[in-house]
Amino acid sequence: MPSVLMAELQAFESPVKEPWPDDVEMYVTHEVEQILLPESSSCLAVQAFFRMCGLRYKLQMRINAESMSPSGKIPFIRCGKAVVSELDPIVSFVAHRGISLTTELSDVEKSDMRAYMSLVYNVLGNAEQHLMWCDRVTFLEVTYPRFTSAFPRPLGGILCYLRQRKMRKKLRVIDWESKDLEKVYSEIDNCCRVLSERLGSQKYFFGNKPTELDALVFGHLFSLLTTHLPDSRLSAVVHTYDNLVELCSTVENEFFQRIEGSVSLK
Amino acid sequence: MGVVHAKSKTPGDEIIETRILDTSSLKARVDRIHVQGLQRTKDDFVQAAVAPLMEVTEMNNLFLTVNEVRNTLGQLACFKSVAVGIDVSGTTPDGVEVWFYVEELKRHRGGFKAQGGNNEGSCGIGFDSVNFKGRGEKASFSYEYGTRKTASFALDVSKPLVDLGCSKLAASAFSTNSISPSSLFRLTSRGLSLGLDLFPFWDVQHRVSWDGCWRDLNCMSIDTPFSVREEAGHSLKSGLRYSVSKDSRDSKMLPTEGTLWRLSSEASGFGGDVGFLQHGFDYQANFRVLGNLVGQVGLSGNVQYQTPWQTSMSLKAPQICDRCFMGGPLDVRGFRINGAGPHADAAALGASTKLAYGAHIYFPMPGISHYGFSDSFRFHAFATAGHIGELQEKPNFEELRHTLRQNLRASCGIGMVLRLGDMARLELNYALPMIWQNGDQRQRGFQLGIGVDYL
Repeated sequence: MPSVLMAELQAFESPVKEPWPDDVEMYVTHEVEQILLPESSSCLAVQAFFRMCGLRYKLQMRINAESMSPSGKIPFIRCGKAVVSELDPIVSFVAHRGISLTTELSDVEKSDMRAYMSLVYNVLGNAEQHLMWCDRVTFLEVTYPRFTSAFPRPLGGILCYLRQRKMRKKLRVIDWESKDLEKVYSEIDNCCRVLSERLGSQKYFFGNKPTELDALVFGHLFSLLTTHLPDSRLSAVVHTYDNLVELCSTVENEFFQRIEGSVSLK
Repeated sequence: MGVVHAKSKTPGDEIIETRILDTSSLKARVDRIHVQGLQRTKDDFVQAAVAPLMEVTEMNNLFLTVNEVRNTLGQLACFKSVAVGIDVSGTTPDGVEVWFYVEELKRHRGGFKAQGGNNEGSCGIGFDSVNFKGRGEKASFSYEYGTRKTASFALDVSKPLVDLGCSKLAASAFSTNSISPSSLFRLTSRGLSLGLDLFPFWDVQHRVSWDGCWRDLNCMSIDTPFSVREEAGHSLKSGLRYSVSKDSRDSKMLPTEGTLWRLSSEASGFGGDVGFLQHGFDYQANFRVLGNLVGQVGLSGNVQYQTPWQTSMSLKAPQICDRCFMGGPLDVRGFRINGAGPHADAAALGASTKLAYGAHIYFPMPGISHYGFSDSFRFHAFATAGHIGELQEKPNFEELRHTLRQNLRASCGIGMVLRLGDMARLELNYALPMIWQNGDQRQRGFQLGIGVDYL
């Protein structure tokens, strides 16, 4: 869930007219052996946003990145003395420095964009959490070994169980826990259809220039497409929407491959 | 011991005869031992405690042994009081009978307490069960809740091993939640601990223990500096600790004579993901200088490092909650709590090595008799100093001297000390920091401190 409060808070402060510092660091957990699908989506989204803005950052992988984060969620960035986590607060933090992808959008478009972003958070975000923590097969084959890899035994098992309990409780409150796999896939399918209709034949959601919505959609869909899960139907669902797959490859080609030293997404 | 003044009295209270008896040549044989007042305490348990008496052959030795046994019975923590009587038995020529009159402690006790500390106030409940199976077993449970939403509980079980002198076996399960305002982190520790206390000879206490502890370190606020933030997260530490100490002081908090020394070593990394070695020592000597003037010198040091084996197992080095800190109203005075040593912004980062010295002269309030309140109250003048920093690998003498000089902190001052029932110590001092380093959090002027450990 995005924390709206942080974003609001920063909007009240006066803007800073300083150049973007060179030493901005982005902290994530280990991508190869540790990170889970929902976190991987958020990290990719924030990275895509930074690259779309043309901002320099250094990716730092830490086992304890989640505990280091002020909100307990990754990714978070360190810029001077400030630490900011998650996409929305980071977008406002960057906007506060006078850098934004949405300056050319009208107010209606901006609120449209917010609506679509919240759709992605609420459907794709929750669906990913559901798969990780509520689907038994995925939990045992993917979530458990990846989550526990970061901790010594028997601590990993305890923490994994606690996290599962917490996530299931969270999903129960918003009525996602009891959904079966079919229902989850159909939710994802619906969300993708709506996004696909909005995108149409455009390059990005709002014309020729990317916005944070593109970053967010890229983060989620790219993770869904590339993550190997026991049930491969997930990527099959996304693959049925050609223009969304096209968007993912456009973002990947434009922003992730031409920058030197970038993380390989292949 | 050795001379007995015996008086025989008539009903009219008139002293008829006073004899001085030399006991050094007298033989004695304990024919019978009575222990009165036992209710739930098991016989074999008390028998083991009084067994040394059966081997006594001389009168002098008898008195000493009776006293020892009485202390042993007292230390079993089963009895409220232990009184002794000795009488001739009349059955054998040198036979004596020894009587112990004991009063057992109540089986269950419960209590409620409220306390205030440096960081927060807390209130809690406690429940004790003493000698519940009749062999000195003790179980206690306590729960505390603090004003800063810190909750802790502890469950302790201990059992004296009478066959091994005053040895004690103890186990505990605990969960504590604490905050460190000087380093801006919040720590939750949950764990198990097993310990064995041994007193084999010369009143030297040996303690072997194992602790397994799950620590969850969190940043206290958004202002927590990044170097502390980097250490946030879960860790599991499993460590074996051995300590040996001897305490011959006449009081723990305001001694006038005697010395304390303590050596301790800890090795962690057998299980868990934190591994390092830690060695520490404490020394304190007290002596009368002149009349009521008491001098005290104290020395304490600590060093932590990782062995190549621990490094090769990629175990974590000491974390911020393990490291050494210095400074405070009962430590190197004239600095804030943990205020001497490396800092990031205003947060203390701690270091791997420290060495601290302290010297005090205590004197009582003039014009007040030696007893009562003045017994727990002293003025003192002190000088404290210490080094804290990272030790280089394999330092040579020149380098060591350089490192020590670079990290020197010193202060002096005068103040008042109040002993709180020999459990804690309250000090109000006027302290002047004399030598400090960049980044130290000094506190010149009045400092109030309360605590158990002091330098």
